[in-house]
Formats: sequence, C-alpha cells, structure tokens
Amino acid sequence: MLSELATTIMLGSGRLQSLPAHEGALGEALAKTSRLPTEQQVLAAASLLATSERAGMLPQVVAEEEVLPPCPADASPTCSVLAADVLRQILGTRPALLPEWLELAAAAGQVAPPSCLEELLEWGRRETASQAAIRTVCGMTGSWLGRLNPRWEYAIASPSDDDKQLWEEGRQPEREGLLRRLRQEDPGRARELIVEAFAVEHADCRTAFIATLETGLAAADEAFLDRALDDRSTRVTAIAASLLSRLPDSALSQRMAERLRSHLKVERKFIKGRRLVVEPPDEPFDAEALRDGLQEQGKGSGKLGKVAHRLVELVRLTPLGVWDAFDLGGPASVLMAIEGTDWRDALVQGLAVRAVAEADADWCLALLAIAPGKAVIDRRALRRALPREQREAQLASDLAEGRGKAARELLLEVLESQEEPAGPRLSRQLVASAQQAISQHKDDWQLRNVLPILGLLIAPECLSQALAGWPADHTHWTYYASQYAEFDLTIRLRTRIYEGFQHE
Amino acid sequence: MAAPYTREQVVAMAPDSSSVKAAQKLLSPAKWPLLAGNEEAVWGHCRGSGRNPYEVQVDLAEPAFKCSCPSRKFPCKHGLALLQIRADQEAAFSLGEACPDWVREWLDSRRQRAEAKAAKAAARSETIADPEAQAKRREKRRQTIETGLDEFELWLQDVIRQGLVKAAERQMDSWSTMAARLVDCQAPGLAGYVRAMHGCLGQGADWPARFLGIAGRANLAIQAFRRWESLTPELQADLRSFCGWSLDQVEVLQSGERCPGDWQVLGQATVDRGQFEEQRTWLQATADGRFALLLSFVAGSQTQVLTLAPGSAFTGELVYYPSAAPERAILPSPPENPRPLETMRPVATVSEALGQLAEAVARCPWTKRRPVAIDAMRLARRGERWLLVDRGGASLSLHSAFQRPWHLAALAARDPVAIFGELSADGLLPLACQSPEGFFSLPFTATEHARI
Repeated sequence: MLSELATTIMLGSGRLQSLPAHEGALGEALAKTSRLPTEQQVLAAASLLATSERAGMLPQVVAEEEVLPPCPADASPTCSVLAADVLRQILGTRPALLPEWLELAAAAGQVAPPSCLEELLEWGRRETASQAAIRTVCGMTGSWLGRLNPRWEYAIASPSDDDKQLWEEGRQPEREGLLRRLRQEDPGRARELIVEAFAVEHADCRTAFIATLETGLAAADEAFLDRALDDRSTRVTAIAASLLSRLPDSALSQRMAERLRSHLKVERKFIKGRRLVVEPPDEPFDAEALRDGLQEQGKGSGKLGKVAHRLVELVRLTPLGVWDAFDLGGPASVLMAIEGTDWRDALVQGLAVRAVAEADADWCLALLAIAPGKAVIDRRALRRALPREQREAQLASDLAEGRGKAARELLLEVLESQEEPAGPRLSRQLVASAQQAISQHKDDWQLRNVLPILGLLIAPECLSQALAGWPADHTHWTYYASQYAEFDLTIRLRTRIYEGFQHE
Repeated sequence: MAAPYTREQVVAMAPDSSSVKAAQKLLSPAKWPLLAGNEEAVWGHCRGSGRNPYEVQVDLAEPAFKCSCPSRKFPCKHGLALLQIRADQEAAFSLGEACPDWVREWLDSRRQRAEAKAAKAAARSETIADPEAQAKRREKRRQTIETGLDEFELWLQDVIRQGLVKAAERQMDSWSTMAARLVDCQAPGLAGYVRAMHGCLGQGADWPARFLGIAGRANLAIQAFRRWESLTPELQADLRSFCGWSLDQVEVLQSGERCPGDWQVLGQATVDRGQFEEQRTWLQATADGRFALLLSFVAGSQTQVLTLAPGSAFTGELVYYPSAAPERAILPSPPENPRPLETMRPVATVSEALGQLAEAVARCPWTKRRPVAIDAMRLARRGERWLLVDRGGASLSLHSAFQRPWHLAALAARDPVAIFGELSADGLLPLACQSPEGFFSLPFTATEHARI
C-alpha cells in the first residue's frame, strides 16, 4: 500500500487522483483524509499506512525444504564446559595450543560444543594442516555445517570406504596420505597403485609416490624399485636407490657392499691389532655405479675433494651391515679404526648419512659421541633418528653436563628443533637449563625469544612444576620477564586443557 | 570466597572483542607483581611497557573500574584481565586483605560522589517541586517546538508536492538546513528523521516506500503535537521522546512506574553514531517476562557508567519512563551482586511476538522496534537470506545486519533454540540465544554515521 502510494507520487502529489480504496477501519480512516489538500492527504495517508504496516506484520510462510534439516545427534559426547572454555580462549589468543587440544579431544572421543564450531571451522579454513583434526572434533555438527556452507566443506566426514574415489579424484597430498595408510594395511595393493600411477604421472607425483614405499618397505618392492632406477627423473632414481640400499639382500645392496669392500682392507698388525686401510676410489664411477644412485661430485658441493666425495657416496649407500664383515667390533670400535686412516672425514660423513637412513640407534649414538672434525655431520638428524626415549635421555644428560656457552647452544638447538612435548626427564632438564641460562646470560635475546616455545614442549605430567624455581629476583630477570609471562600463560592454559579432559 | 563474576560475565563487560583478546594475553599472574582483594574490591599491579606497573582496581559492587594506564577503552584490558584472573585462578590472589591507600581513596571518593549525587538529586526534586515555574518552562519549550514543526510541515508538504524524484535531486543544503532548524527549535529527534529521510534516498529498490513511511510518521508527530492538550500524559511523553525532548531523570523518578523485582540482562546492542555511542541494554523481568530498555549514550572518551553483562541477573528496582507502551527505564541505584541468569522467558510463537509488536504500535504509533523472546526457533535459508522459524512453521526474516548467522545455525543445529532480539520491520535482530548448551549473548555492534 505504502509503496503503491509512493510510486504514484514519484513525480509529485499532483499525480494523485484518489487514494486506493481499502476495507475496514483503515479504509474509513483513509476516506476521512479526502477533505485535505492533496499533499496533506498524501502525508496523512502515509501516516496511517506506515503505522498499520508496522502493526500488521504477518509471519512469513516457509517451505519445509527451506528449513535447515535437523542435525543428527553425535554418538560422541561433548567435551566438558571447562574444555570448551579453554578452547575459546585458545582460539582467541594462543592458537599454537590448538593441536594439543584437538588431539586430547580426539583421544577422549569427545566433540567440541556447537558454540565453538564457527570459530573452529573458520580457523581450519585458513589453516589447512589442521583440517583433519578439526573435522574429527566437529563431529556430526561439523559435517552438517560443511554441507550447508561451502566454505566449510572440508568438515564433511568422508566415509572410509571410498578410497577408490579418493585415489581417482583426490589431490596429490590426499593420494599420498592414502598410499601411506595403505602401505600399513596392504603394502602390495599400495605398490600396485604406485606402479599404475608411474605409467602416467609427472615427475613430482612419481617422486612423492615412490617415497611412500618407505612405509612397510620389503623385499617384494625390489623389482619395482629396480625398474625405477631407470626413471627419467633423477629425484626418482635417487629415492629408488636409497630405498633399495635399505633392503640388505637386494641386488643393489650386494653390489654396493662389493664396491665398498674393494676400497677397504683390514690389515692385521702384530702389535697394534687390526688396522683399516683405504684404497681411494680414484676412477670415476662407471655406468652401472651411476645407475645404482652413486653421484659424482657436483660443482661447489662440499669441502671434500672428488675422491673423498666418491668415498662418501659409497658409504652413504651401503648397508651398515657391511662393517661387521671387517670384524673390527661395534660402531665405536669401527669409528676408532677410521680415526687412524687418511680418509677419516669422508668415511665419517658418509656413515652419518647412512646411520640416519637406517635409523640405527647404536651407530647414531656412536657418531654423536665423536668430534665432527671436517666432516659435515647433521647432529640434529642423528638425534631425530634415535628412538624417542634414547634421544631424550641423551639430550637430558648432555644438557645436565653442559656448561656455559655449550649448554646454552644445546638448549637453543633443542628448543628450536623439538616438535612435540618432551618426556618428563627432558622436560625437567629443559626448565632447569633455561633457568640456569637466564641467570648466567644477561640480555640474551635468543634465549628470551625461545622462552614461549619452551611452554609448548613441557610434558603434561610436568606442567604443575614448570613454574617453580625461576630466578624472578635475579638482576637479569626484568629482561626476560615479558617472554617468561608468555611461557607462564602457555603452561597455565595447557594445565587447564588437561584438566578439561581429565574427568569422564 | 567465591569469584564475584564468572568469565562469561567479565567477557560481556568488555567494550569490544579486541579488548577481550588483549585481556586474555594478560591472564598470566606472572604479569602481575601484585594481585589482591577482599569482599569490596580487587586490585593489582600489572606490568606494562612502562617503567612502573599499572595500578588496576575494580569496585566489585557495580562493578566499576579504574586503571592508571592511558587506554581510552573502558573498561581497559587490565581491569578485564584482573577480574578474569579472579574468576579462573583464585589461588593467584591474596584475598581478605585490607585495601591499600590508593584503592581506599578511590573507593571512598566513589562513595562520596554517589552520596553527593543522591543529595543533589534530592535537592533538585525539591526545586522542581515548584510546579508553576516548571509548567512555564515546559510550555515555553512546547511552543518553540511547535514553531519548528510548523516550518517542518510546510517543508514536508513541499517535498511531497514536488514528488520523490525531485526529493532525490534536492541540494544537500535543503536537508541540512531543515535538520538544523529543528535542532534550533529544540526538536533534535525530528532532525534525526530528516537525516533518515535523506539517508534512504535511492538506497535499495524499496526506498520510496521507506521514505514515505518516515515522512508519514513525522507527519503524525506534527499533527499530534497540534492536539497536545487532548493527548494522555503517556502519549505526550511518547511524543516528547519522539521529538527528542527527553524527560530528565528527576522527572522520570517522580512520575515513572516503579518496578522492583528480579531482572535478567538478555542482550546488548551498541551503535557508534559518530559523535557518541549508543548502548541498548535489554532486561527482562523474571516474574512476568516484561521487558525494559536501559539506554546509555557515551561521547568520545567518556566512559560507560553502567556495566551490565548479558547473561547476568540481579534484584533491583527499575523506573520506567512514562509511555503508552513503557519500555525505556532507568536503574536508580546500580545493581548489587549480579548472578548468572537462569533462563529467558520466551513466547511460544512468531504470531505472539508480532502481536506484541502490534500492540506496542497501537499504543504508541512511533514504536520502531520491540524486544521479543521466542521459543524453539529453527533456521531456514532462502537463497542468501536467513529466516527464523517457530515450532508451527511461522517465520520472520533474520535482520540483514546480523553478523553471525552461521554461529546461530551451529547453536540451533540439533535442537531448536530460544532467541531474544529486537523485532522491527526489517526482521528480527538476535541478541541472545538459549540452547541446551546454555545462554549465549550475541552482542550486536554497528556504525551508523549520518551523512548530513
């Protein structure tokens, strides 16, 4: 009504012939305005119509299909009020703690409450790495929202039996994930899929797929890997060679062992016992050696000479088992024997790579115990290759024994490279070392910057003691106080996360 | 000693979400060399960027905040953090201490000011007790407004005579002069309607109807003003507030309806209008579901006096402004001991809610919006638009300015929810929702700057 009237007077109230007729009280009231001059009549009618329109609002009719379907109930219980509260706080201020929350919720088989879902799903939209974990804790409601809102499509739980579809239509990282999973359940089937893909896929894809064979690597993979040595992509052949060398009985491993043995001899001395003698590989690698993954030194790679580099290559691709054949003893003794040769750095450098590839704890520990000299040794990689308990015990005792600068360096290294909470012993040692370092180093910005990270690395069972013993009255303290507060808040929030999942 | 406020209540006291986030960064007691409190107040020292820590104190009665930091936000992040730590980490506080001097002085000065204010109000109500002088003043203002209205009427008729197309082509001057004239004639409320008419020109396909609607309501005020003597005192009061001739608090306290009882704070909407910020706080009586609106206007750096958090409840006396459809109220003394609310009192259907709006419009034709709480609502979607559907399938549009429809969808995913909000011709603007999970405030913030 109001809009009809408005349309009529768009070009002036002179256009108005008469007001539209209306029944009932409103009609009568409108009729009374006819005595007025036109513009007054229009205004009077507008008053009446505007008021009656507002008073006469009617409910809208909705088609059943427009109403959002009810979301099916979750089989999993909702997390506690405290856990939800902490979640909101984490999303607001400390997203670094989100993975831990998600993991605990998933482990407890609990889902996030509806009031947190919008923020959680928006977070996952930006942080694709956390999408799988978020999908789990958003449960049925997450799936339901994902179907309604295309931005949250990732939250739709995919039933596990459509691997075929995932393989055929998924993106490369998803297909890779599928292969890794399949390698645990049915390695042969996964290999078949890779063989199939190798015929058609580009080099990036082939590289990613062949690398998944590392999971569940077995003799059955040898034939395929051997064919892959002839692949067009050097990245693919390098991975194939490395994987083949991890199969001690593979033809490649045998050939490698043969090659290495031809350059190493053990001489028996009457007085000094056994001595290792190196016959340097002066000749360039032949075609067969190159096919097996051995590489000549590229331009500007490393400080070693050409010949030393060949030695590194040979050691790098030969199973560690070959060293037993020399009958020199365990890793430490072998390393001792190597000290006496002219090619010590090359051998040590090759062994350090090999020990990481085989994740051989004894060799890693032995290599960590020696001075690197000129050899390039990736100590972090060696530590990572150790089983967790052994690694942490090693670090904890190194930290405990370290003094001054060396202890600080090691502390920084650990804080920067550790990716998940440490075990109790290392946690306690990290706190103690940090406290000690603070009282020893004035204005150390690196140390100050890693304090917040420390909060993320403390074992759950050590959280309650982590705030004790800090040198808050030390003269150096003010410099560290602000970053310590971050550490402190992280510890408190994490404590609350665990409290939130403690009961039930 | 139980925490005086829960985390949710403290969060609701924050002036905006960035303050909440800033406060959460201060929750570590390590940032606080001092944390103490008693039944009356809590206080602390918070380490900031400066040399000396900030002195933060909260009077728990209202609560009222004070901090030595330079922030213009109120309450500032330090005050919010202090109360949150009190809520979450009681052990960090040394409780039951006597107030140190810097807290004592502030508390005492607050008490004195409150007493002085009460005394002043009492004194004023006595001066107003001179009814003759008051009536004279009122009559004078009424006449001034009437002069303005006569001009306004001629101007409106001119606009209508020339047609809406011409109206859209009018010079800016014509609008701003008319608005200024109405302000001069002490009818700033009507000046707002001139601005609103100007504001809707050419905005959206239905602007002519909206424009004419505003003109119609303004015309209604003009005509009603001519019949001043024949109006009931309630309608006179409504007309006064429509024109922007608001009653002062003393008048309200004298003549308004007093309503003691239990009140729940259901929702809050904050509109930044440029020179000042308008905050609407909605209350509902626990006993009979009656609504009340507390309005506060805060200019620039001035601080919000009242901090009532949605989701809380208190016992106290409200005084309604006189009106044919009473809604706005004042709270003569600040509420004590707020507690979490139990549950909102919704009506069952959309029709009942619309009936409430219709009744309010019938009583006071200038009613713009009406608070409603409706039970068991579900969401529906029509293209990009959202609708709220009651148990019987009747629905209302969700106000297009509502910022978090997906949040509401998640809350109502499994079970229908009770929704409290402001109902107007543009639909329902939700301000709170009650689901089986609990009560959730959906604070609304908007910026509306007039163009003239």
